[in-house]
Amino acid sequence: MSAPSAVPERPTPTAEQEREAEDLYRRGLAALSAQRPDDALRYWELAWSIDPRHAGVCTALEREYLMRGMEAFAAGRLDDATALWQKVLRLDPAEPRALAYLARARMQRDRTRELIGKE
Amino acid sequence: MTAERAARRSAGTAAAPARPLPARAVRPVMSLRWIVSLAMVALTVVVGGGVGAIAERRARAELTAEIETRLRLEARNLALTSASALLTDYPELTLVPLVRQMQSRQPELAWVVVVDRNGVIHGHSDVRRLGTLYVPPAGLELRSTAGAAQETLQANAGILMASAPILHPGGQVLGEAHVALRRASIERRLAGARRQQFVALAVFLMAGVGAAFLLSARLLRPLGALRAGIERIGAGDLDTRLALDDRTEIGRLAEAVNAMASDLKRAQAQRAERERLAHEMELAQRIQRSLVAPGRTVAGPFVIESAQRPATEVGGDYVDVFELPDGGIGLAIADVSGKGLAGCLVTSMLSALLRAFRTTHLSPAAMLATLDERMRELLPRGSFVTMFYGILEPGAGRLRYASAGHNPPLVYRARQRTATWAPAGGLPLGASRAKVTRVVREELVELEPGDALIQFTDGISEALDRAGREQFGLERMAQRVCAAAPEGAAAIRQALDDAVTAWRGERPPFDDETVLVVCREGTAAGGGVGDDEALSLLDEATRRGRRLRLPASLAALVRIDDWLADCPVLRDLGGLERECLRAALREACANVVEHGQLRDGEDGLELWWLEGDGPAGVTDAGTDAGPAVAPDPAAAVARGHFLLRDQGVPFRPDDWRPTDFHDRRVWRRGRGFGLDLIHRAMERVDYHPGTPAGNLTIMAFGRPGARAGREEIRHAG
Repeated sequence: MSAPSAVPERPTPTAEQEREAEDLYRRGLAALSAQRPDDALRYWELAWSIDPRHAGVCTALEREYLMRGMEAFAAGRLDDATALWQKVLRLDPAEPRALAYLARARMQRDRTRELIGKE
Repeated sequence: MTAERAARRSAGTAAAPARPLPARAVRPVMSLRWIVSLAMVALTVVVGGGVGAIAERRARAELTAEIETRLRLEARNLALTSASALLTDYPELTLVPLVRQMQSRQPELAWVVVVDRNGVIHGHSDVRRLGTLYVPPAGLELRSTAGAAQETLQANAGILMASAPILHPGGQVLGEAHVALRRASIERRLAGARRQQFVALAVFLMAGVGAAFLLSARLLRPLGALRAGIERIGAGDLDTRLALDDRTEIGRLAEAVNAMASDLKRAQAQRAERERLAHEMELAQRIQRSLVAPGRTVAGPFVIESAQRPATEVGGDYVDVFELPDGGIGLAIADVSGKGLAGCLVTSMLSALLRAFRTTHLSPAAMLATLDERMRELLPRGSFVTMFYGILEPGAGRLRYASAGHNPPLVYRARQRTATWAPAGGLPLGASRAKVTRVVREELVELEPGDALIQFTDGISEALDRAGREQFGLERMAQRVCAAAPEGAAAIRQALDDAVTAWRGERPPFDDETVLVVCREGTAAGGGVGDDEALSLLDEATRRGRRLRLPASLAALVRIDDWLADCPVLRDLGGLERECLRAALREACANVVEHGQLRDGEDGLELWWLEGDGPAGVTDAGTDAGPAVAPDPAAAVARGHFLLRDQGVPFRPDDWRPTDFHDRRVWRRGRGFGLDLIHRAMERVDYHPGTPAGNLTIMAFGRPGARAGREEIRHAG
């Protein structure tokens, strides 16, 4: 899985690129409906790399990263959760839920250190 | 020989060595061990299955109740924990790890969900459901509610779900916590328990079968020895004894088999003894049959029938008919006290004595006296013989007899169609040390054509009925004889036999049944008159006879004297003859008044004197009563019939038998001469009760025989 490291400063996508991104977005939705969330995530990340401004792709990726982060958080994998939620911020640096989740993760890590001396 | 062979056979069997068993069809054997083991298996399965089913039912109920309680507690705890989470931003950060932890700890939980008051999911193991609306599964039914907080328990076919409200500390409802459990988990736990139960049952079964097999093998081990012993006994070795040191029922069975073998041996010996005795009895029976008279003997006009039915194989009755040197027929019938072999021996002895003395021309009384002397010497104390012995003179038509304590003979008179008991008496032979000659009397019976004498043993008269209470009796005997006598001796014998057999029914004879019938064949001598002839005589008398009407009163009978005096013919009779006639007529009329139950003043008597022979066919022509006698002047004068008619109750006087006026006992008795007087005064007396004209008594007068009777009376007086 290749995560977007930052909003790329790329030239405006051509119409063909927009169509390709849209196609990939829809494939991702179909894969999710088919209970293949990993395939969906790959489609959407590929679509985002072609057209980072595609609103649907961005929303889908944010939601997917939040959920996966929540799963990692619930499983006690704070680093994975933090990494996923930070990907959300890369897509939308002002995403309040991601900020809150990261703050909670950070707090929990700090609290853990306090209580048991390690993470 | 047969008995000896039987005894030898019996002894040989008892002592014979065991011989090999004959080949027999062998049926498949069902081993008791297997039967007991299979029964054990069946019993264990049934009991174990039944107990298991009951236990499982209880376990299911208890487990379900426990799980429901736990489920409620889980939901309540989740609600309490979720209350503070719902009051924060992003409660999923608290609730999702919590829910996941619950489900990882209890995999049997189907789902754990926390929703807010709007139904939006904030806690779920599947994070993709976060933020969506909670939709409960279909078909849930409320099973119970608990507490004021409205905790509920719902269920459908596959799910059991507890719900608890999430309450704000102020009491407001913030949301709801749902904890669901798959029912399959309950079944899995029950199946686990059932598997354990099956394993335990299988272990018990195997242990039980093994124990049953071993125990039955141990207990049934003596059966082999028992079987071998029984087979030896069955093969004839009755000395076999089973020595089993066994304290169970098999040991008792062995003791019973030993006792059976002993009993069998004893019974075998007894059977051989019985066979020997039966053979001896058979010989005795043959001897006795050779002593019994031939069934039918004909001597001139006489036919003699005899029959015997022994109560046991060998009876104690004796009957014999034999020809005497002077042409007479000896008739003997005897009853020995005791039956069986002893009785047979006595009858044999009696037969031998009788045949030895029959040629010595002894009279019946002398014969009995001679037999008594011999029998007293031979019979053991307490034994005796009752006997009737008679000598029939076929030419003279009479029978002289004597009785030694035997039953009186029954004499049938064809003319009167009645049967009476002839005198008999005496003491049984061998019964007393006193000589029989002191008490034995000789009697004489004249037998006219159609008459019969029947002698018998008490097996006939004392035969008991089907119920064993009432005896056949002398009265019934006399009735049967009267009914059958016109048909002859064989008919009398057969009638008695049939009557006694029917009287006894299915019962075997209690005593020997022996009968002897002496019958003079032919029609009744003297003719008698039938009812039609009597009515003809009456008709003739009403036309030309001399009549006397008398009221039904004994006092009125005195008028007979005057009436007789006015009869011109009778007036010429001699004084004694007239006196006899007068007395006879008064006696006849008195009998009618007394026995006919005539009512004084209402009924009456009519007496006629009809002179002469009467209508044709009514005379005594054709009688064979005796040789022709020269006409008597007096008889020529006084010849005719007296007719007596009444309308009273029909009756027939007892049979008349001539009275022996030489017998002093007769004079001492001093009564019963009425009939004797009538019969001696008249030549013949016929009774016709119940004719259309009333009861008629016909008295023939004027025969020489009547005069003889009158002479006898005169001499006796």
